[in-house]
Amino acid sequence: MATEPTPLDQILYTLNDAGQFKASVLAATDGLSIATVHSGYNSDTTAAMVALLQKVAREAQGELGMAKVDEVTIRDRDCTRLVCRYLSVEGEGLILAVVVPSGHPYRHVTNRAIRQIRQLLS
Amino acid sequence: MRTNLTLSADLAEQIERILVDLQRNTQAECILLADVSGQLLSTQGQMQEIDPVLVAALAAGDMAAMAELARQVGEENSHGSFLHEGENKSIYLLSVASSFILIVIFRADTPVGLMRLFGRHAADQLHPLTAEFEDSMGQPHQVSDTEFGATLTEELDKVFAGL
Repeated sequence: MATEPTPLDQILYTLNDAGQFKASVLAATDGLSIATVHSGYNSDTTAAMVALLQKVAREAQGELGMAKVDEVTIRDRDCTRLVCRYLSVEGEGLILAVVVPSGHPYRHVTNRAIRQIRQLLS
Repeated sequence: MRTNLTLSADLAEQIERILVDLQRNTQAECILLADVSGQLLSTQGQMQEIDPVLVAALAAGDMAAMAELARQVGEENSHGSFLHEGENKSIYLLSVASSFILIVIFRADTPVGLMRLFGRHAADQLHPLTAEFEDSMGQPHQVSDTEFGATLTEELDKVFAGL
């Protein structure tokens, strides 16, 4: 029995369609998956990996004295990018991760999704 | 249902609104709010497959056992949350202000992170309301072994009646 998509699912579906991304995942900073657009990727593994990236980014930020990290990107040889955007809502650290095909923009659509997520959780 | 807990209409409405939001945001099957002795305050969602009074009483027992277990291992905050991951349905119990329990029953394929995120959010929103409720009752509702035992026994008797 299928259930209705949650409001967070709907935000991710819209984001994924708008950006024509290969995958979109919202995860907690401890690696638990919160919402995902079904794709060829395992959502639990993706959530855990993006949380691991966030941990490394936070350590680098601390060691190098950088300002708060806004995003981390990994680009493969085909120019496909894994983009992790970080946000904090009411004390909860969240990671919005998208897999972006070569040449596709992502900042504008992920900014819009982040605003919608903040609005939902506030 | 044996209960001496009465909510004002305004408080009941505010609590219901929070439970409705939680259900919409998580697509949980049903949500219950009970006090730590297992007496129901509010419910939301499909209750056809469960006996909410029994679920509340059993959840209170689980929560009390888990709090004691946490204390035994040296956990200072023994009023946290815990999750039962089932094959088809899962159960998430959250302590609200140490005196109430939010019980969420949801499909096992729902992301645990989603449940935790919105469960905490709802517990934060319920916190001041439960404090208001306790004020209106005159004193914090204490867990009484006798009261909890009586509720649980009564509900278990109903379940096993006729066997």
